[in-house]
Amino acid sequence: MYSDGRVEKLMSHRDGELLWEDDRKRQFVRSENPIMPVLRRTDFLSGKGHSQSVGEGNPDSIRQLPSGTRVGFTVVRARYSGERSIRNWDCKHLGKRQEKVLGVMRELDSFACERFVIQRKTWQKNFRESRQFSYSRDLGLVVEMQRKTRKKSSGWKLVSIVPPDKASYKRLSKKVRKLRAAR
Amino acid sequence: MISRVTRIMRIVILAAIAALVLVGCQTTASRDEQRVLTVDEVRRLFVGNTVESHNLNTSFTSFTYYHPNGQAIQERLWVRRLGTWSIQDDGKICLAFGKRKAKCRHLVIDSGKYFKILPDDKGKITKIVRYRYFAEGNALAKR
Repeated sequence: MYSDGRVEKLMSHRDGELLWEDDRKRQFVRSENPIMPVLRRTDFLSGKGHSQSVGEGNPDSIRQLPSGTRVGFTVVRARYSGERSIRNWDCKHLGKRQEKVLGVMRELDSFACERFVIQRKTWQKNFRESRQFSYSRDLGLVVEMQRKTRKKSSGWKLVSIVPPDKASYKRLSKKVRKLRAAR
Repeated sequence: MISRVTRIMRIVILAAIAALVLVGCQTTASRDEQRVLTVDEVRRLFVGNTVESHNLNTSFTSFTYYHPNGQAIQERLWVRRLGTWSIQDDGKICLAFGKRKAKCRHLVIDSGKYFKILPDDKGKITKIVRYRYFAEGNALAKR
């Protein structure tokens, strides 16, 4: 559960991919590599969505490279409707730190990523969005995110993890109601 | 004589422009106007369909399958419950879950979006649910 009121359920974890579902039953397949954008998104009733795969570059290299090294890669987004687009990302590992998350001291990796488009004529980079986030390897989750686009800034924090045996409707609805009321 | 004809033509043209503007405004107003759905419209939207609804007070999203036999299957926060549903002659949709009494409410369309409404004692209408998506069949059976 996240501070912005989102709630997601882990449906499966296999072959390095995590399948998450939110309360609107939209499914998101995410990589174990936190700098990779969502690999697949599918809306429940409409079936609309997209898949994303690496075009050029190697985002996994960020694990071996020293902190501060820029890792550039492109992601090919293919909408289920057939449209395709290319997204450029630049990411770097900012370092490690110890911080209390959900009451436990954990090691967090900080990352900064920027998405941009390249102008065809001038080859200049045009900013689209930036994400600065912290990832907990032991939880396998991004625990804090700050996102900026050309129009707005937003952010969220991980606020709760509910194990499956405790995820009753009563418990979940109470927590979600509280989070959404505080928005 | 010529200037008088020109003046009359000017008046005719201005009147035509004003009429066009007024017609334009009227069309926009009627398109955006909120109106209560008829019983046939409600039937077309709900019978045998799975509907995504968003409660505007609690921000909860629900998915409900409206079985043609009057059974309702609803999922919210990954929990399912069974209930009953019906449509009244005046177009109100009724839903009941568990032992609770059925609640019957009118639906409206406003700027192309569908809502469930709740009138207060003075007749003031509050939108309480927004219907986001209508899909044919029981989508909940597939998952």
